[in-house]
Amino acid sequence: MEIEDTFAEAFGMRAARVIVTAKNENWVRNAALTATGFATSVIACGAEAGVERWLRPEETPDGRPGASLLIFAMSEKDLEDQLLRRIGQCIMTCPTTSCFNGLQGEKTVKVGAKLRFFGDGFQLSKRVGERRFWRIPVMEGEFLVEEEFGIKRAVGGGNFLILGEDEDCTLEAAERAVERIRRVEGVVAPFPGGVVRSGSKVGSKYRFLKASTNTEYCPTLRPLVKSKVPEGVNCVLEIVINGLDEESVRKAMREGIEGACSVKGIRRISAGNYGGKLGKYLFHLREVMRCSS
Amino acid sequence: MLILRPRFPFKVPVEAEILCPEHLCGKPVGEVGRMEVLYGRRRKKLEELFTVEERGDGEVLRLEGDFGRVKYVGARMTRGRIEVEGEVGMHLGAEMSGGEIVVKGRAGDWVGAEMRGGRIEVRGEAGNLVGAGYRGSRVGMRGGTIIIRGNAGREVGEKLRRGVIAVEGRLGDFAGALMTGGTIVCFGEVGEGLGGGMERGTILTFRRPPLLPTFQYSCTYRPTFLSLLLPYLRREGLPVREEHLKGKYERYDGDLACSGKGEILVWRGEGC
Repeated sequence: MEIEDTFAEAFGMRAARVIVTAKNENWVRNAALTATGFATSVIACGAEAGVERWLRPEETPDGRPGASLLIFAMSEKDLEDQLLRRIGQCIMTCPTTSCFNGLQGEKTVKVGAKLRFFGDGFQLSKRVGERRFWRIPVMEGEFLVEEEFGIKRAVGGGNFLILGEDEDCTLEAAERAVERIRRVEGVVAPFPGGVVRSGSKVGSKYRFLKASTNTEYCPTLRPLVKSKVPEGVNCVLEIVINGLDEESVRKAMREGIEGACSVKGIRRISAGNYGGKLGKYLFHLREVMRCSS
Repeated sequence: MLILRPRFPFKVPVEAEILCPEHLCGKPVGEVGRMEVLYGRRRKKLEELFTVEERGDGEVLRLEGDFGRVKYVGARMTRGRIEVEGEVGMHLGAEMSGGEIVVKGRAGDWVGAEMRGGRIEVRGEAGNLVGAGYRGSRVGMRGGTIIIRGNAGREVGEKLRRGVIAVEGRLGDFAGALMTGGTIVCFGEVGEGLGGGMERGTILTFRRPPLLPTFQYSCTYRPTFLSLLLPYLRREGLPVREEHLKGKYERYDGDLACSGKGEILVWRGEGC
């Protein structure tokens, strides 16, 4: 098994942490998965998001079961817009939920302060301690949402590729990697189950398309293109990691790679980059792994 | 820390806005003693009325003895802490915007009148018009927290705009009259005229109060924000029970003689 001497290229993003709570785990799950759904890549989804972790009642502001969600976007404005859309359409609509800020960030964006207008003049504000909340009347009762959410500079697009002998072992390696990554605080893997099967490259032979399939890593195209799929490798999966800071992403990559390497049949770990010209953050795989020893 | 003790029982009120940590602490005792207050209608030096003792550092002002006739203690204070070992007079912490005042005895009328921030705790009883707005003012208390462990008098939270007033004992008549926001919580009995003329805001009671006919029942539910407010009050030492946290509340909208956007929440009691 080889860790290729290459690097993952990641970008600066803005992130918010949303704490959603509800009457029971079922409704927490419904709200969390809906709010972080269709949020795999900013290119087409507007945001990248995921469940950071599930929270026990004693860990949440209102003593109910909850989830910590991380939502990433390319700018403050985009992030505010996405928070409004996702909290307004996916959390406010979900029975019994409440929504709290989970990040003391560099700046704040107004969320509850804007969503309150849904109350059509019957909304009530409440300040408890130093935090201000809005109570918006809804058919089920009330939706409680915090007025402001903290945002901070974050890192998006940390990644690594798992090159395996077949689909079975590669998928198992990816699952183990995601399991390890989920234990790291401050990161999410925003793709389905944390795994990407359709990694992309910039551009396409078609002028109307900004991104297209990563031909270099498609096993089926090995004889047709300048392939990076070594002999004996028949399946490649990618793990993409977004984190609240560089160190969290580095730690998650290390954990993920270690998890993936524990599966028999994995031939190589590689990473996606753009030659180091586009991203602000470069994660050299061998350096990342050296930190673990 | 500065400690003040009255030299003799006061026969007339003392107006002592100067009794704030920010005005006194950190200054030489001699200079503090030369500061003036009103004793009745005469100007007196502090040292003529009080003994002044300095003990250690910190912006803490301790008042020992009977301060029941001393008015405006902590008025307009912005930081530091005042500890009153006994009784204190009217206008305690009026218009304060920060810091903390703890009174171990009784406090007079107008506790925290028009206050904007900070915390006042009265472990004994409090007089009338706690957190209220002065006559002619449009709004009363605009922020901060007032905790009354004993009973409180009439018109508590009159014209309340923002902040929390929690009373462990009995709440007098016309509590929350004309309030436009904020929260009043009462663990004891409640007097007549609750929330009369209120435009907005919340009054929370754990015993069934006499309600004005201009308040109408809307529903019985569990307001989520109480999951934040009640633990906060419990941390403040108030007798919040598990049944209060898990229980349901009847909501009455009012005062319908005005906009009707205020609410009185009444705990339905155990077993409901």
